[in-house]
This record gives sequence, structure tokens and C-alpha cells, in this order.
Amino acid sequence: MAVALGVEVYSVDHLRVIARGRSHTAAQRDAALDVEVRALIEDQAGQNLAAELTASLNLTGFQSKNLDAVLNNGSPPKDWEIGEAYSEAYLGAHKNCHFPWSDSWDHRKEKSSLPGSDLVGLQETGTKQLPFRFAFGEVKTSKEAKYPPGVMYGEEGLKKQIEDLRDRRPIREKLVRYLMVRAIGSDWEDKFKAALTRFLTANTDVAIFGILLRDVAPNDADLKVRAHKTSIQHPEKMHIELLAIYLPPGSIDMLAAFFVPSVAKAKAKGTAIKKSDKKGGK
Amino acid sequence: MLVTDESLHAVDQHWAVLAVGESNRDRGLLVAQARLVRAATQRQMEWTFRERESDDDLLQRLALAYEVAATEGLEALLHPSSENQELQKQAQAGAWRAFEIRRLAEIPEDTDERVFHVLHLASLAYCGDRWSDLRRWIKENEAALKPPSVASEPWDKRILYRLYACWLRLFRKKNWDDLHRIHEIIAGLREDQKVYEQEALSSDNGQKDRMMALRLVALYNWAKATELLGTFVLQGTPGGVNAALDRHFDTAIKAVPGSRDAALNVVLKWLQVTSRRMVVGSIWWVAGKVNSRVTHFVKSVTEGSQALFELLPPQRAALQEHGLLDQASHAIVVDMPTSGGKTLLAEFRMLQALNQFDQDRGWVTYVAPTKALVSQITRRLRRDLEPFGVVVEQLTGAIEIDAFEDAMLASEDPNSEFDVLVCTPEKLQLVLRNDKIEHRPLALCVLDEAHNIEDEERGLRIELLLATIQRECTRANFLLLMPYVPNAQDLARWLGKGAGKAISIGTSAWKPNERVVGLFQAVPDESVRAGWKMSFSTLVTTPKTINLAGDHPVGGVRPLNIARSTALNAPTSQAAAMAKVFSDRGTSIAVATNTNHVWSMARRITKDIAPLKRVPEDIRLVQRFLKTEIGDDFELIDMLERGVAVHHSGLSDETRSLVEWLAEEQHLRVLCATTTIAQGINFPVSSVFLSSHKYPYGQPMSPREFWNLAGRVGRLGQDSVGVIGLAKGDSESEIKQFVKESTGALVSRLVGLLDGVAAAGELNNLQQVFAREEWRDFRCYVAHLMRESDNLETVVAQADELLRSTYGYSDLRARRGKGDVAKADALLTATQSYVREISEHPENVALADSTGFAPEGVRSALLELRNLENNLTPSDWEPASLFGKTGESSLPDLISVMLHVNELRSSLDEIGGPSVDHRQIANITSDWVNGKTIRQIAESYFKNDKDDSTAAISKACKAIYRHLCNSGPWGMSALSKMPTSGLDFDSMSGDARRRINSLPAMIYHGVRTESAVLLRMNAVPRSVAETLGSVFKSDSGSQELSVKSARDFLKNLSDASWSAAAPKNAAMSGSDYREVWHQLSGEKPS
Repeated sequence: MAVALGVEVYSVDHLRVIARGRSHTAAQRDAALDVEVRALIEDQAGQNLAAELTASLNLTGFQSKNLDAVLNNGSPPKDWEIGEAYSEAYLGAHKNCHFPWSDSWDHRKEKSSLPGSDLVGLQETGTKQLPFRFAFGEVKTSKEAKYPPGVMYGEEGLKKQIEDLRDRRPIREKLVRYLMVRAIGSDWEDKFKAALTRFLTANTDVAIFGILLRDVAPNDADLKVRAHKTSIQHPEKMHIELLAIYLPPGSIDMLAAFFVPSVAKAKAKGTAIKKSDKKGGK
Repeated sequence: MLVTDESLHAVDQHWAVLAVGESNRDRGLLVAQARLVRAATQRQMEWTFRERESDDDLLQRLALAYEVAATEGLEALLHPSSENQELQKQAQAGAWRAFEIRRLAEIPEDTDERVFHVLHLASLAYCGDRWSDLRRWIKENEAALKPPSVASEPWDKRILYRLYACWLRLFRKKNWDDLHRIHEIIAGLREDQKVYEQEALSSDNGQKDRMMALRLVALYNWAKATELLGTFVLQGTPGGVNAALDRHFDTAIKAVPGSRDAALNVVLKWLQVTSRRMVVGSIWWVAGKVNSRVTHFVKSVTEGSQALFELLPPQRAALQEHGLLDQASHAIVVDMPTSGGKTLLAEFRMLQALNQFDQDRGWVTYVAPTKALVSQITRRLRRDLEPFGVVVEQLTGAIEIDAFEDAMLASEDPNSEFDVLVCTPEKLQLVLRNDKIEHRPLALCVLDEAHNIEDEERGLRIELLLATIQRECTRANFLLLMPYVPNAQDLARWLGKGAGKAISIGTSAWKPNERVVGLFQAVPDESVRAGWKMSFSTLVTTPKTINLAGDHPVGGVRPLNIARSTALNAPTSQAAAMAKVFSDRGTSIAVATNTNHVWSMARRITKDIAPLKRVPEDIRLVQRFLKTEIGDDFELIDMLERGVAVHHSGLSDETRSLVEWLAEEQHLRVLCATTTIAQGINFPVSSVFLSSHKYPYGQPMSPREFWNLAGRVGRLGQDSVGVIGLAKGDSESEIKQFVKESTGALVSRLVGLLDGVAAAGELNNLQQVFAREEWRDFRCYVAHLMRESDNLETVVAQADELLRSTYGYSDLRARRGKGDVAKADALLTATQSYVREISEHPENVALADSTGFAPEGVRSALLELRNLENNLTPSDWEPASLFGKTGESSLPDLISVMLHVNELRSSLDEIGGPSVDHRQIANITSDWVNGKTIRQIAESYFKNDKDDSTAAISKACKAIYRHLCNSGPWGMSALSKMPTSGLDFDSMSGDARRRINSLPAMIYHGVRTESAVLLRMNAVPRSVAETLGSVFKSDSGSQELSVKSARDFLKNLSDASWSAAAPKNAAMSGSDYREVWHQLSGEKPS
């Protein structure tokens, strides 16, 4: 089952900026975590790669000891990382987005293939001609009971990231270049070409998503001001969409635990979901 | 492979580019050109091109579109094969265009963005084969590109910035030490790892640490690849560098996505390809292919002041793709763009040939069209090749071989044998036709500026010289170097006899810089009273120079302080005004049609140009040279004070060479010259303005000559745009047509002459036509064939075969058109008849080769000598008598004989015009040999009421250097060989023979002793030649004097000895003399 669409809890669209809040139930959450998010998070291939990479250092004249320790320690994923995967799965299921992996070297998944912007990919537009455009997503995960949460602001805040993607052509170009070096010869090359053709005609013809993953009660104050402000200087042809996904309270604290191997095993026996349900509550 | 106009055209049609729109593409490329030109010339010219607000955005999109085309072919560039050639071409052309546009973008201020911007742009340049443009861009933006400080930066940034610093070094390739620092920087990083790495990996956030670890893996692998590449560029090792580079870049590229740095990810991919391009273009590639001599050579040019690490794209293509060093090709004809670096290619081929013929002591000849170029090439070859034992000699004199040259050529002593002989075609012809180097095989003949084969005056001579080599030096290889010749293949086929190869890279898109060609004119400017200013409009040309429509104002109002009426009507003044305005950008040349105009241009500019802030010491040295050799008040001295100089036939050879040296050193702001500079220019200039595209006698330059000149405008590595202007005058449509004409196929002068004869309906009368002056070289050639064979009937029977050794005849026979057959048949018949005719006087035929005269010239000389009132005796030929007291000398008689010989007459007539008789010429010659200065000679013979002293000096220089020094020695040498000369060389002592044989050289060099001749041959200024000659002679004791012993003497001469030889009150010090000698000879003091 795909990650759920969820229930729309508010709509604060302003001019052409779309800004919606949606809530997911615990069941919907767990279903998503168990299938799409797990596929994105669990990364045995990445572990193999790490070993290969540290071995390569022998030929460089640099020491590998410290790196070896870091790359091969198998630490569990962080909540923000799972948040990104959750958002990615959501955009894939409901916004016709496709975030291609690097498949140029060995077709293995590289979970960290999302540079600069958290999510870099393509969105199907449904148009007959050139049916794809580039899609860039920024994701913030926050349990802070403040509307909007602190992650909205600051140097690495969602506000600045969205504005940068909206206003700074070099940033968009950088992300396009990143896809470009991977697209050639891939199975998504045609989609890329369609998106690039649009981009070359107008380098604002892209979709930008700003996603807040929350486990607090829905509140349109999370997005209202942002929708308003973002619509100022909204470039022609650019699609901007802000989305807040509200998980049941307490969800964020348990996201990482969901992928700790022992928890995962227990979950496989049907116990962990109930446990987390109880813990998260409604 | 090279980027071609076709591949650029193809990439212009790429889907991504078309996505931007065709009209947008054209607009974008035009805007890019306009911005480039504007940036390069904004202080001189106000370009009226209008930009639009949307242009910035358009350029960004267009650059990205071209980058897409390039990216599609990156893998093909990494793994080139015959199957993916189209993709390789696309990648190169896409990168070429993307670089063309992106280099104009502002450099980002943000440090990281700047670092990636530069690395990315540089990669585009390398993949697009534009590293020379990149190097210039780096130089222009040096301050903005400075590597960021690493102080207080986190560990990953420290590495990134250090690597950036390394790559800047790899791109700019300043010198050996600069590159060697890369190794130290990477070693330093390995040390720093111990200090900084731990902290970078201790964020208390496992995922962040993991990201950093992946980033470090990428950076360490990149660092290792950088170190490998740096080492390879420096010393050509390790072998298998490509595999090692790929290994490290591949690993870095695998690791970097995990670090979430899109820019690093992209740039690593580009740098991987860049590193491969750098390896393939490395000069070490050649070393690996040839022999140890070449390896030594490469080592020396990488370590020396040349700092030569990388082959220019045309050089790389010639060597790697077209097999320039393929030993199976006996004749290689290289059609290469001007400034494409052909001398280096010649050097490689020469070293290869010397190696190949080592056992047989083979020699190489490098043939250059003018004496000035012979000197320049000699200096260059000595600098490059002598450090590892290749001996380079030049033949300096006129059309004769003097005693010392004879000795040098004939030497069989391995210690003093030359390896490379640099000379003009005329000199080589004499050497070969008289078997001067019979004991050693000619391994290779390099013919520079070989398109002169179509030159009206000398073309036939050059063609016949090649025919002689081909026939008589059977093992010789050929290397012909020329620009803009579409039919190089025809020449290769002729010379190579089935083993010829044409390397045609003249049509590649590569050029040392962009060029603007246009018309200039003076127009009224009413902003001030009687004001005027210059205006420039670009032209549409065949080689697609930059064209920006409109009239563009140049400089300010009244750039020269001359009346409006003069400015509006005098192309010479307009050229001077343009050159003055553009002199801010580097040496600017103003070209006029005659010497007087050149002087007046230079005077005008000198008056109006601001003084130099600091007069360079090199200029000071030349000023002191001129004061000493000519006089304190010689006008050029004051002109040089302001960075202005002249270059024409009214200067001594040494002065011209020193002016060229100042231009090479970029000390000159404006150089005023006659049109003939097109033949000799071999130094960097940033702009040229011609008052006319015609030679002094009204004959237009050929398109090939014009583009050869234009091709040198814009200094490699310095000027992004070279500006070439032609005075509009009243020939606008003629000039517009002229620059659109294609350079066309190279046509043999022999065929050209026959075409003329056929057009005049004289083909049936060809034997009579032979008598004309333009056929003299052909007559000499036939006489030579006759002498070689010594049998009339054999020559007649083999005439067809013998003529087939010429390019023209073999070409006519190959074409087989009706008209061609008729011409060839007529030539054959007329040649056979001419052979019969001259065979009646075999003595004339025999003397033709040794004198360089045609049989008819020999006959005239013989008769006139016989007709002299007093028969000559050996004592008449003694230098002391010949150049002694007037009245007792037989020199006037000899000059009068010379004036009856067609080969000499016109040149001797030029010495003083119709009013000067043979006695006067003899007096001038005596004074010249006896050490009178140019000024004294000018005062005595060339000053009149109308002329100032400058004009008189110019006339004297022209008379002596251009005419007397050519015809005098030639005539003297030829007459001495006549049976009616009163000399019998066979019965003469060796000393006496050498004395007589030194006479021509005395006239050539303007000295009266043999020892002074030898020093002059080694470029010693005339003012000290006699005095130093005495020292040389006495120092040498009983040892035989030779060119080499003179050189050794000079190498060891102290400043004090130079100083002691200087004339009283000389402005030059001992060290000045030494420096001038060093510059003129290319020799370094021991």
C-alpha cells in the first residue's frame, strides 16, 4: 500500500502558492514506514560501499582509521532522515514525483543521493508536450509545539531554503547539473530531457515543495504566513507548494526506533505497531 | 580530434540548444561576442551594440544547453573509440561553446561558489580544447581567483581550498616550480589530516559524521588524483597514469553523493575528463613516442624559461592524430593556423630525423623566407636545441658562399660539424647545386612559410629548390609548414612520391584568440571646433571573425593633433591615430606603404603620445646602440623614449632585429612599418592597422598573406581579441570583397607563369618568352640539370622525367585537361630547345651553378670582363687594393661589369638612383668596407637639400643593406669565378684563395679584415668588429680562424674586453655590447 494521502486539515493557499495541511493516522504512518520508507532507509548496499570506499584510501596516502570507524559503525537513521524519506514517498505517491537514484555505476541504491536540496527529481505534469519538469523538495521534521516551528527559520531554515530555490537561478542550475551527469544513459533520461527542455525555455519552470513533518496538532499558522510571503516575487511558471504532514503526537520520537534492528524484528512479529500506537496515542 | 566549424555547427543544432530557440541561440552567441569584444577594447572603442534586459538570462540558458550537449559526450571523451567519435565531437563542441559563453559571467563572490565556478569553467575549457583561452582568462582574473585562506576553516574546506589552489596551478602552468608546489601541498594535507580530521568527524551526530566521512573519502581520492596529474605534467610519469586517475576519480564520484554536495559531485566528473585531456595534451606524450633526444628536449623545455608543458590543440592533432612523426612519410605538408606553434613541431621532427640519420651524420636544413626570420629561427633553435648538443648554424650572407661558410659546410670534424643549417631558399640552392655538403646526407628539409611557393618573385625558385632536393638528395625527408592552404595534399603527393602526408588542420576552429577585422575612417566631430575622430566598422570575412554591425567610435576627439582636413583625407594619419589609441592594449602596428610615410607616422605619434612612465632598460640599451652605431641625433632614439619604433628597409639589419626584440619583449607601444612586415612579423602584437592592403608598388596582398598577417594579431595567452583595421579610403567595396575572398588552392608559380603565357597567346613562342626576367630561375634550373647530366641527348630524352620533379609540371600532367596538356607540352618542347641552345656554350652552363646566374648572365659577365680596358690581375683582387685608394682600385670596373648583368643591375641601380654611376657605387662600397659609419655615408652620398638627416640615413641604409649587401657580394663572388677575372684559383695559395673568397663577406658585413668578418657573422656590432677582430686574430695565434672559433672567442669575452674595443665616446658599455651580441646571436656567454 502506498503512503496515504491523509486528510486535508486546512488550506491556506495564497495566490499561486499552494499551502495545505494533511494529517496521517498512526496506521497510515506505520504502513508508510513499513513499506516505502523502509525501502528508502535500509541500505545494506550502502554498507558494502562504505567498506569499499575506506579500502580505497590505502592508495591515496591518507589514513583510513577514523573514516573506517565512522563509515562502518552502522548507526541507526536519524529522525530527519526518515522525515525526508517519508516526504519523498509522499511526493512520489501523490504528486507524481520521481526522485531517481544514481544508477550509473552499479544500480545499487544510494540513499544519500539528494544533494543541496533534500529532494531532487522530476515531476510528471500531465501535459501532452514535455510531460515532466524538475522537482526540488526541502523537508523539515519538527515536534516543536510552536506554530510555525523553529526549523522554519534561520540559515538552514525552510523559509530560506524555499526562497533560495525560488530566487536563485544558480542553485536550481546546480541541481539540474547534478541530475544531468546521472541522466545520460539512465532509464529516466527521456523524462529528464523533457524537464530540461522546459528549464531551458524558462529556468523558473520547476516545481518546488516545502514539507514540514510534524507530530503536533494541525495548525494553519505553520504555513499561512509562509504561503503569503512566498507568493511575493513568485516567478512565472514556477510551481510552489507547501505541505505540512501531521503525524500522531509522539511519532517523531519513535521514528528512529522504528528502524533499530531489534525493534524492527519485534515489529515483524506484530508487537511493535501496537506498542507504538499506544505510546503515540491520539 | 580538433573542434571544427562543422562540429560547432552540428552542436548548434543539438536538441537542448534548439530548446532555447534558434533566434535566441543566434542572439546569445552574438551577445557573447559583443561582450568579449567590449570587455577587451572598452577603453579604446565604444561599441554601439545594444543589449537587452533579457540577455543575461538567455546566456545562462544557452550555456547550460551547450553543456548538456557536452555532458552527453563526457563518457565518450573518457573512453574514446571509433564508434563514439560523433559523441566526442559533440562533447568538445558543446564544451567549446559553453566555455565561450560562461567565461563572460561574473565570478561569484561566495567562496565556495567561486571555487566550483572556476573548476567547472576550466573543465569546459579543457574539454572544448580551449586551454589557451583559459590560461588567458586566469591571467585576466588573477586577483579574483586567488585561493581562499584556509585559516579557521573546517577540515573539509581546508582540503577543498588547497585542491583548488593545486588545480589553478595545473591550469595556468606558470612554470616548473609553480607546478612542483602541488606535490608539497598534497603532502601537507596528509600531515594536516593527523591534526584536523578527528574533530571533523566528531559532531555527535552519526549521520552527519557519516556524510563528512564520505566527503573526505571523495576529497582524499581527488587529492591523490591531483598529485598524480601534477607529477605527470612535470615529468611524464607514472606510466599508466590514466588508469590510476580513473581509479581515484571513480572512487571519489562514488563517495560524494553521500556527502550531499551537488557541486562537488558535478565538478569531480568534469575534472576526471579534464585530467584525461591534460594527459593526452601533455608534451610528454611526444617524448614517449620518439627517442632519447626528444626526451631530453622535452625535459629541457618543461624546466626552462619556456615552461612548455602542453601541446596546443593543432600541435596535438598533428602529432597524435595525423602522424607528424610517422617515419614512413617522406614528405609531410602541414597546413596549420598561424600561431599554431609550428616551430615546436618542426623541432620534434628535426630531432627525430637527426636521430634516424645519426650513423650517417645526416643534417637538417630549416629554410625561412627572409634573413630576419633566419636569424630569429636560429636564435630559437639554438636556445631550444643546443643545450643537448645539437649544433645550429645559419648562413647569413647574400647569394654566395663565402670562404668561412664554405669551410663550415665542408667540415668533416665531428667536433665542429653542424646539425642544423638555417638559411634562405637562395642560399640553400647555392649550397646544394654546388655540392657543398656532399659528404653528409640531407636528412630533412623544413620549409617554413612554404606558401611562398606561389610568390611572384621567389615562388618559382622555391619550387625548383624542392625539385632539386627531391632529385638529388634521395634520402631527404620534407616538412613543409604553411597556413591556409586547402590543397596541401597535392604538395604532399608531389614531394612524397607515394609516401607523402598532408596534415590539414588549418580549418579547425582553434585560434589563439578572437579577431575583429574592420574598416576605419576619420569622421568630423562637431563637439569641438574642427574636431574629428576615428570610427570603426567590422567586416564580414571568410574566416568568420567577429562581426558587430554599426559604426563604432574609436578613442576621443582628435586622437592626433592634426588638422581635420588632413585627418579626413590621409589614410596614413588615420592608421597612426588608430594605432595610437589601441597602443594601450599592447604593441599596435601602423602600416604605411613607404618608408617616408612610416617615419612621418612615427613622428606624429611620438609627438602626441604620453611619455612612458618608466623606460625599460632594454629600450635604453637599444637607444645606446643606435647612438653608437648611427649617431646621437638619430630620430628613432627619441621615438623609443616613448615606446614608438619604426621597421622598414631604411634601417640596418641589426636595428630591425633589435626593434623586433623590443616588440617580442612587449616594450613597444606602437610600431610603424611598411607592408613588407607581413613577411617578417614573428612577434606578438595586439592590433594592426593598415593604411592600405597594397604593397608599395600598388600590388595587393594576396588573401593568404593578409590572413597570415591577421593570424598573428592578438597575443596568445594575453589578448582575448586581436583587432585588424584597414583604412576605408575610397576602396570600401574593394576591401569588403578582399576580406571575403577565400585563400584558394596553392598554385605553382610555374603554372602561374604558363597561364600568363597561354593567356597572352604566346604558348607557341615559349622559348622566346624564357628570355624574360621572370623565367630566370627556370633557366638556372635547366642549366643545372644540364650540368648534372653533362650529356645533351640524355637531358633532351629525359626532359619529361626531369620536369616532372617540379610541382607545376607534374600537376599539369596529372590534371590532363586540354589546356593543361597544351601547357605541359609547350613547356617540354621549349625546355628541350633551350637545352640545345645553352649546350652550345657549356662553359656558361657550368658557371651558372657556381655563380647563381643564369647562363645568359654568365655570358654577359664574361664578355664585360673581357671588354675592360685593363685586364684584371690577381693583385687587383686583393682587399687592400680593391677597397684602397680611389683611382688605383679596380672596384669601379667590377661594378660597371655588374651593372651589365641582369641578375644584379636593377638592385645596384637602386643604390643611388639614375644619377649615381658605377664610380659612386664603388666609393660607397669602399667607404662601407673601410668602416665609415652609416651616418657618414649618408652625409656623403645621400644628403640633399630636400632631405633631412633621417631621410638620408634611411636612403643610405636601404642602399647598403637592401641592395649593396645583396648584389655587391653576389657580383663580387660571381665575377671572381669567371675565367676572364684574371684569377686562377688552382694555382693560388690557400691563404690567397681565402682572402679572395672573403671579399664578398667583407662587403656584406662592412668590414675589411677576415677576422672581423667572422665576428660579424657571429652578430658582433660593426663598430667594434675590426678592433675585436684584431684581438681575436692575435688570441688565436696559429690556429685557423673559423665561425666556430669566433663564437667560442666571443662566448668567453669579458665585459672589459668588449669595453676596450668600443670606439671613443661610445654610448655603449662593454656589457651593453655583450648584451646586444647575445640578443642578436642567440648565444649565451660561457
